[in-house]
Amino acid sequence: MSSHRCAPNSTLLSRASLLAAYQSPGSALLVEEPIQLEPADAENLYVNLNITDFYAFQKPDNPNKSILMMNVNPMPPRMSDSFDFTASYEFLIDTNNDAVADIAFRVTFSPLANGQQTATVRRATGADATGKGASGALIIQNAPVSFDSQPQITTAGDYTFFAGLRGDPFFFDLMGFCNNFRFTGTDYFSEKDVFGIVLEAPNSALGEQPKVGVWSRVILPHDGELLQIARLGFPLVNIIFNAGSDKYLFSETDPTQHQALFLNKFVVVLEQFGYSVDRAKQLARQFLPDILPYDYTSAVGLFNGRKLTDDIVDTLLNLFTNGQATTDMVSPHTYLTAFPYLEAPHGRYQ
Amino acid sequence: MSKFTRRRFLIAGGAGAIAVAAGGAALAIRQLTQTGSSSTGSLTFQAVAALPRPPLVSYASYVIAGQVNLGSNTGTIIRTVFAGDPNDRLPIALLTRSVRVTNVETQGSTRRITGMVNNPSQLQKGETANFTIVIDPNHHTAQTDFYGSPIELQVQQWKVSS
Repeated sequence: MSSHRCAPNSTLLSRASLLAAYQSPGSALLVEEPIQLEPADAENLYVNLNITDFYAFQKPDNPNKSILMMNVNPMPPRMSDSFDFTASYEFLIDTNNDAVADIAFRVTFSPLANGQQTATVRRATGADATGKGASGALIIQNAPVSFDSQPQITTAGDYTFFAGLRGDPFFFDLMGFCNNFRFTGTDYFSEKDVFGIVLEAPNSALGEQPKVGVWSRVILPHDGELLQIARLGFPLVNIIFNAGSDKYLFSETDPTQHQALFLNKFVVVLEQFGYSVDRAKQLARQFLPDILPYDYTSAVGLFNGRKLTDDIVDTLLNLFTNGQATTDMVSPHTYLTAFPYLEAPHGRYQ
Repeated sequence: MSKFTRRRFLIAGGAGAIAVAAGGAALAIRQLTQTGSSSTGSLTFQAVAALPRPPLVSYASYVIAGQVNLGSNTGTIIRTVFAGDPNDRLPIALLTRSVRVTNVETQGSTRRITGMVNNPSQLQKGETANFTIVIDPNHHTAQTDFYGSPIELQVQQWKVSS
């Protein structure tokens, strides 16, 4: 599988050109310039940097350990066949409730070569964790990325790690959502795949105090800068509350800025569902900053971290819509009972 | 922060994976171009609506594009759900259906086009094989349904060739 990586600027140009042509109202595009939506174009979207989901939960058979999981790259390998080797995929932990990362687990990858990649995991603390650099103590090295149904698991000391192709754990009636919450119970994601990054860590590595805040992000170097181009704590929040360019801004900004930038906008959306201003503010503050609260001494799921089986769609839709939408009638997928917990991929990678 | 970052990345924002059927969409649209124009006249159109519909924040775009031979009242329509709202639509098809046109009626300034989904095995709960769209080019609007719910689209292209 070829990679077709593009330089950032040429990527931007090709994507902008495509959209401009497609959205031009006056052009008889369908006749004169057929749209090419094939993988070479789609890959320019860099979906392997797009965080689709984030989970944090106590290890089922060991309360002294936690599982941090981030999924990226929807439906591989159609648009991307590997992790981005220039990016840093990160789990962040706020240990003192100030919305600033105090601990960071940074996962980086080697270039794809002969169909193989390896991962490195570092743990940074203090100012190093807050920053975007590649600093941190090495905890996992040369971990092979899995590209088939057999997960390759790497253990080093108290840490266990997996990265690679797995079944998408998210369950949601996406078209019912698009149809203004008229759900039919059709799980759009039932046989989709993603690239998963799963880290098992001792609870002590998440901070001395068990009640922490956790989220995920992706950092990418561009023009001499390190840019935060994806970030996710709670699922669905960005989609339901943010319109247009705010969706991008929400991902690019740090949690410390969330209330200042987005609280009033969230309140407006919540008022549409019948919430009073005061209740809307109270509810919006529960999701701003966009950080998942997690007590690593507790195995309870949402809103204590997020487990794979948590029906976060039902919970959040019910909450956000003030009871107007209570369920999408979709059930959790099948998951492994042991690490890496994500089920085998559905599609054929090759 | 550079515009590069704002425009380049697909933002699912945590609604799980944006699944992709890009290859399928490409095939479908090429098929549209090949149905060709007719010496007796052809109609080409494209209409778009935001999904979910206002006042909800939009996440995707419902795009219906068609080419119809007005002499034989035949043709092909492609209906696709793309990621991204209509102002920031991404070339990523979440759902694509090809419709074979079976009839075209002119009612004043509007055209009522009916057809059938070519591959009924693709249909999900709430979808039907029958398809109808009523297009009013004077008002730049089109009426159809999305999973059984009526929806109004904005007509972005409308071209009748003789």
